[in-house]
Amino acid sequence: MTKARGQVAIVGAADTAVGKITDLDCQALCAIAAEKALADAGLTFADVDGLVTCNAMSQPFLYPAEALAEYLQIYPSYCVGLGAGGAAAVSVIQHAALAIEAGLCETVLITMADRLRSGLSREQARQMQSAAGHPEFETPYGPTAPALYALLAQAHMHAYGTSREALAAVAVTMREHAGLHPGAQKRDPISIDDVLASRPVASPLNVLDCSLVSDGGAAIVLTSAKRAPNLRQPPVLILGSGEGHHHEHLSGAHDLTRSAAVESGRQAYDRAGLGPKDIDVAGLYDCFTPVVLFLLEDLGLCPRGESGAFVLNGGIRLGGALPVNPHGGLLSHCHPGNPGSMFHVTEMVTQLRGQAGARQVPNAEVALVHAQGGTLSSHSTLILGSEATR
Amino acid sequence: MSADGYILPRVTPLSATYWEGCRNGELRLQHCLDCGHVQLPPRSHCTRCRGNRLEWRASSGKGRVESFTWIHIPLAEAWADEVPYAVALIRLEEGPMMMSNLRHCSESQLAVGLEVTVIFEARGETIHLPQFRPARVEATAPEEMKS
Repeated sequence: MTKARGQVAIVGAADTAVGKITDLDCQALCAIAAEKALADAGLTFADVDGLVTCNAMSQPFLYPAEALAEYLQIYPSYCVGLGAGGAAAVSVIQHAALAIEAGLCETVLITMADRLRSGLSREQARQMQSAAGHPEFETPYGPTAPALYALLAQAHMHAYGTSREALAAVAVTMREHAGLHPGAQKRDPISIDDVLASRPVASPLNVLDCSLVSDGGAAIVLTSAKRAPNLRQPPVLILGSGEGHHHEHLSGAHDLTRSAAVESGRQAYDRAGLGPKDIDVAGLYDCFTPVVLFLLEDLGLCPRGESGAFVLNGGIRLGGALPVNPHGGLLSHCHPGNPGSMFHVTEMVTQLRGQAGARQVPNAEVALVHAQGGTLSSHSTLILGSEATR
Repeated sequence: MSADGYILPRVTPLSATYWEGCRNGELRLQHCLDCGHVQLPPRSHCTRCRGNRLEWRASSGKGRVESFTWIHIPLAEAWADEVPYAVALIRLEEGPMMMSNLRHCSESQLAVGLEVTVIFEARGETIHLPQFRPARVEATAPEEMKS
């Protein structure tokens, strides 16, 4: 993206309740998140002329964005349903910002929700599990989604001597952070020993190395940076973004220790005119503990091969060299599927506004969000700035 | 799905020759006649030079483990009796990497770099799934062996 740095701003952001939600469907959750985000911005549905969402696995529609516009009874001139797995929620922001810059629309609502915990039928859950592998050359061997990430973890451990405890330390830190967020799904502290003693899933990963299964949704509102200062909240500027795509299926990966986050991150840094050292707080996709180690290295946030030591030394904790996921991430805050990284985005917005309370990173002015989909396949990076970075 | 509940590969017109090879005890790979590149999964074009003069040749069936995992919570009911079962990424001697299961291999024996060789396991009438076992048989106690 963006033709000019900081031309588009996030002016509204909101989460729904997360965890177990039995009285609402995904479209209702999208509507609730949208209403809250618009109220946060001081806007109404009448101001929205762009709508972006992703499909909900538990309530799929052939054309999810059009179905949501119909549900909300809004009539956007820009309407997009996007699929890139976990990378979608960050990737859509790049698309939406481009549409605003190009003059296709002025105010874009991005809202998404899913109910992986309460909303999936047994058959949908089974299909989701087996959908992760290549249907002809992987799935017949019985790999689960955690197993695919376990293969990456094992490769990293072999290449760099990364310890099992380093993986566990990621989960421990996320839980510690979630304890400071009143809305997080899991808030009881855990130790490295708890992670190591939890139920084995796919070696070396145990249950506590795996993200939560949640219901929930979140929304943000984007508009031009020119219009943003007249709204209710301090704007959060989009300074740069990037994407990277190397493979879809793990057996098609060219390198098991390095992902396309390298290219995605480089684009975002270049467009923002910033580097890894400028990042005050990061929202990193953490569906399984090894992903955080890969992303720290691929995004240049710590030296290659040293992410294990970085995490064990408290580097990603609040108060550490680079606080990661102060809301608790997918591992402890919530993971409702494709909308998962929306919560990383809303948390970075909260941090850059200085509204994060007990988990606030002091003087946070530049934040990075990175989401990935597939098996470290599709990558999307966003660099956000507070008003001071304008 | 096969009668015993395993998820079977979805064979395409391009891959029929691959699965025919498996039924004949041969792991077949596409060789590019223009640049010599070897590839799997099968495609209409060479991924290196984009040429379309591709020829099927039998692999030696030998490779090395690049990564592995022991799965304790199975993908589907069919694997429930086999847990933990090993899924590995295997670098074939000819170059391509493929996913497979490691059979006849103990947990202590399986490691990155282990030399392996292909075997075929019947899954129903038409599919013989290529799988791997250690190239050298280890002197292990029978109770440690995984089928």
